[in-house]
Amino acid sequence: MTDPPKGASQPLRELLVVDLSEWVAGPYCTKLLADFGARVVKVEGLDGDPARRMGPFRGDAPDLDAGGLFLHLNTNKESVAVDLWHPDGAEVVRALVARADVVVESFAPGALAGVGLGAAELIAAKRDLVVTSVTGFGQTGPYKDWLTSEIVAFAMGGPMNASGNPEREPVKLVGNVVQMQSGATACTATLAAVFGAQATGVGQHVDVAMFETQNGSLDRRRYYLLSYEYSSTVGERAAVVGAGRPAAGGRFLASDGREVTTGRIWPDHVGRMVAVVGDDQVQALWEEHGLAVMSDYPEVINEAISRWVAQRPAREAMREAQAAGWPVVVVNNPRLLLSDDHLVARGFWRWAHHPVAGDLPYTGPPWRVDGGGWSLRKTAPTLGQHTDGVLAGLLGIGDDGIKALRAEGVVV
Amino acid sequence: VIDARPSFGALDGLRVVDLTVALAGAFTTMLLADLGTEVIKVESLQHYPTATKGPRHPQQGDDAVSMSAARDYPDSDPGSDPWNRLSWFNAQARNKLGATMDIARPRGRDLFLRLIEQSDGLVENNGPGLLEKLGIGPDTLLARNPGLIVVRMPPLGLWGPDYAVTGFGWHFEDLGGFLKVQGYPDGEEVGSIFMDGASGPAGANAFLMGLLERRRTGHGMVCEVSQVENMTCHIGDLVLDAAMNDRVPRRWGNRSPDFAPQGVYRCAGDDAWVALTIRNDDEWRRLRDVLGDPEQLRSPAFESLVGRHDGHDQIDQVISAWTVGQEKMAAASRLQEAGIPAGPVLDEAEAASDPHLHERGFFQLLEHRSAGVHFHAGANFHLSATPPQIWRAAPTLGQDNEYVYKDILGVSDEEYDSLVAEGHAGTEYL
Repeated sequence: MTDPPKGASQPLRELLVVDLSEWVAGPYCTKLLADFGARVVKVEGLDGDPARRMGPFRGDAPDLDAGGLFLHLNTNKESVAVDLWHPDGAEVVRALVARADVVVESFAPGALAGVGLGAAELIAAKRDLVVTSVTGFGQTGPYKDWLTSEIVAFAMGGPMNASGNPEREPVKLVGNVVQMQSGATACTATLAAVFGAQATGVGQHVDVAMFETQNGSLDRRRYYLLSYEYSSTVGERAAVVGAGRPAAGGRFLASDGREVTTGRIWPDHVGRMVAVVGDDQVQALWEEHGLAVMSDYPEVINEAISRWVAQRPAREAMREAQAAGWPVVVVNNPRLLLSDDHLVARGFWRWAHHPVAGDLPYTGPPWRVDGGGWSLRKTAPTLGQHTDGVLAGLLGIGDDGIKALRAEGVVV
Repeated sequence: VIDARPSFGALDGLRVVDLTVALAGAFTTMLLADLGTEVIKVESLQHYPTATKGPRHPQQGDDAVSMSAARDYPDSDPGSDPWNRLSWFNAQARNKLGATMDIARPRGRDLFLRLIEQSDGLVENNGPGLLEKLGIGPDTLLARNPGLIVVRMPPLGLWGPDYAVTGFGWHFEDLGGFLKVQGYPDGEEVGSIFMDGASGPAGANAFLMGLLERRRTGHGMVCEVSQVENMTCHIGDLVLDAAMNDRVPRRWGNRSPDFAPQGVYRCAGDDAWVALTIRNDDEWRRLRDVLGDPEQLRSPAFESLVGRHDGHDQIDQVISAWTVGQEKMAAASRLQEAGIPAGPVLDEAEAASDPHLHERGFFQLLEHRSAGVHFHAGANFHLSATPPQIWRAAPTLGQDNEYVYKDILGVSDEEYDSLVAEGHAGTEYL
C-alpha cells in the first residue's frame, strides 16, 4: 500500500471528558482522547496548569499561553479556569462531571475527596462514570504521597540504572517521554473502562502509577525484572558499542550533508553490506575471513562504507541499502524531522495557527483508526478561553451567574 | 485441557489473535490480556523467533554463562527447551495462550482463518506486506470476519515513500530524532530502547478505539500504528522548540530547561544515586532547609531559575556533599518529606523487593511449566470494578493447542492427530 487510506469518523466523538489533570502524563492521556474526537474540558486552577510555565518558548521568553510543551499536550481542549478548592468552584466542577463520561485527574491521593470531588463520590453520583487518576505512585502504598518528576519516574521505574556509560552517572531519556508514555498507558486503561461502562453501565476508578507503568514497560524493564528473578542478575550500563575502540558501523555523512546510520551491523546483514558498498578490498577480506572482518578490520569497513555513502544523498543511500536488505536509515534530529520526506509525504506534520504562538507544526496521528479518526481541530487554549462558553453552553449558567462567580474570584 | 482461564476484566469476552514478533506488538497484546482479553499467541513450529526466544541452540552447561542471554534463563540454564525459558518472551506472554499452526501451508492458513472468524482482533507488527504474502491480508481477513479489528504496527506505517524500510530499534530511534538530543550534555550519546515501550500502549489504544467505533457501526477495520510517528509524538515539544527557535534542542542530560537543580547525585554505596527535581522557588527553599541552609546556597541569585541554571555546577557539588554520606532511599525519603520530588535510582533487585510495589500487588507469583515459580511484573494499571488478573505464566510452545484446535475450532481427535503429524500442532520447533 503506498497511498493514504480513506479518512474515518472520529471514534471518540461522543465522549465528554472533564480533565482535572496537570503537568504531563494526565494531559497526554487527555490529548489522545481529544485528538480522536472526545470533547475535553480542561479545568485549570486560576494560575493555570503548571505545565504552562514549562518551555520551550519562542526566544526563550516565558509566556503562559505559548509554551511548546503546553501547546503540544493540550490540542483540541477547552480551558475553563476554576478555583476548584472554593466550594462554588467545586460545585461548577461537580456540574460538569454530571455530564461527563470520563474524568482524568492527577492530584495527590485524597486531595479531591477533600472538596467532595473524590472518585468514589463522583461515581456514586453517576454510576457509569470512569475516573482515571494518573500520578507518580498511585492511590495506595507507602509512597502514595510522594511527588514525582520526569527524572524521578525514570530513576525509580527504570531502567535508568542501565542507561548510560558505566563510568559515569546514569542518564535519563530525552525530554518528557516517560511521563507521556505513562499518559498513553492511562489512555489504554481509560478506554477499556469506557468500553466496559458502555457494556455494563458500571463505571470505575482507574489508578495509574508511573512507578508501575515504568517498571512494567517493555523493552526493557519488565523482562529485566524477570531476568533478575531467573538468575539474580541486574542490568548494567553498557558503553555505546565501539566507544573507546574501533568498531564497524555507525553514522556516515552523505553527499547532501545529511547522515545515515547503519547501527550495529547484524551478522545476517554483513554479506549484504559487502555487496552494497562494492569495495574490492572489503569483498576480498569478506571472502577470506567471513564475519571476523567486523572485529578484525573495522577501519577498512568503515572507510568503504564512508566512501559509498559520501557519493549519494542520505535518502538515496538508505533506499539503495534497504533495497538490498541492509538496514540503513537516515538520521534525524527534532528539526530535521520536520523535513523528513516520508513524514512529510504522509502529512504527519500539521501546521496550525495559535493566537499567541502563531503558526507552528504539530505532531499528527500517532495511529490511524480505519485510515483516520484523528484531527487537529483547534490549538491549545489560552487560560480560561472557554470559561464563559462552557459555563453558559454546557451548564446553562446565565450571564449574571457567571458574573457572580467571576466577582467571587471563583472563575477566570 | 487448559488451566481454567478465569473470566475477568473490562475486556472480558473478547478474543485477539497475536501474530506479533519481537516486543512492541507483544507489549500491546499483553496490555489487552491484562484487561481481560483472551489473547492467543499463534506461532509456527517452522519459524524460530530469535528476537523473543533467544538462540535456537544456546551454549549449555558451563559454557552457557558466557552467553549474553545467559542471565535471561532460569539459573542461567537454557535447558533442553531453551525457547520456553527466556525472560524476553516469558515476561510479556504471561496471561496469553499459545498455539502453533503453519500459516504458510494451505491447511494451516485455513485453520488460521477459522480462528479469525471467531475472534475480535488481530495484532501484528511484522514488516509491511508479510500478511499479504501469507495470503492473510486485511481484505481476506475482513471478508472472513467483517467485524475484525486488525491492528498493524509497522515501523514507518503502511504507506508512504519509505514505508517498507526495516531496521532495529537503534535505527528507528536515530531516524525518529531521539539520539541526537539524548545523552550527556557534553555530547556523549546514549542509546535507548524507548520505541517498543511507546508502541505497546499505542497499539492497545488503536485497538480500543477501533472497538468503540465497531460498537457504533458493527464493522471491523484496519488500525495502523506507525511506530516511529507514535514515538515522535513523545517529543512533540522538542519539535516545537526546533520550529519556534530554528535550532536543534541541546542535549540536557539529566538537567532540565524548566527546572533547576535537577539531576542524580551519588549516595553511599556502590553505584548508588538519588534523583531530584526542584520545580520552583518554594522547592528550592525547602531543599536549602533539608541541606541545613549551607552558606554556598544563600546567594540571592539562586532564588530564581535563571540563577540556579547559571550556578548549577556549584549547586550540584553542595547537594552531592550532602547525599554522598547517605543511603539513597534515606536521602529520597528526607527530600520527599520536605515536599521535593526525589527518588533513588532502583535496580531490578531493589524494585523486586520494593515495599510499595508489593503492597500494591504489582508482583505476582506464577508457575511456568519449564521455568518454574517466579515473581512476574503484573498489570500496569489498577481498575476498581474490573481488576486485572495475572492468572498464568507464559505458555510453553503449543501449550494451548488442544484448547484452540478442539474447543474453539471444533477439530476432532483424529483430525488433531493428523495436525500433529503434519507439523501444525506441536511443542518443539522443527
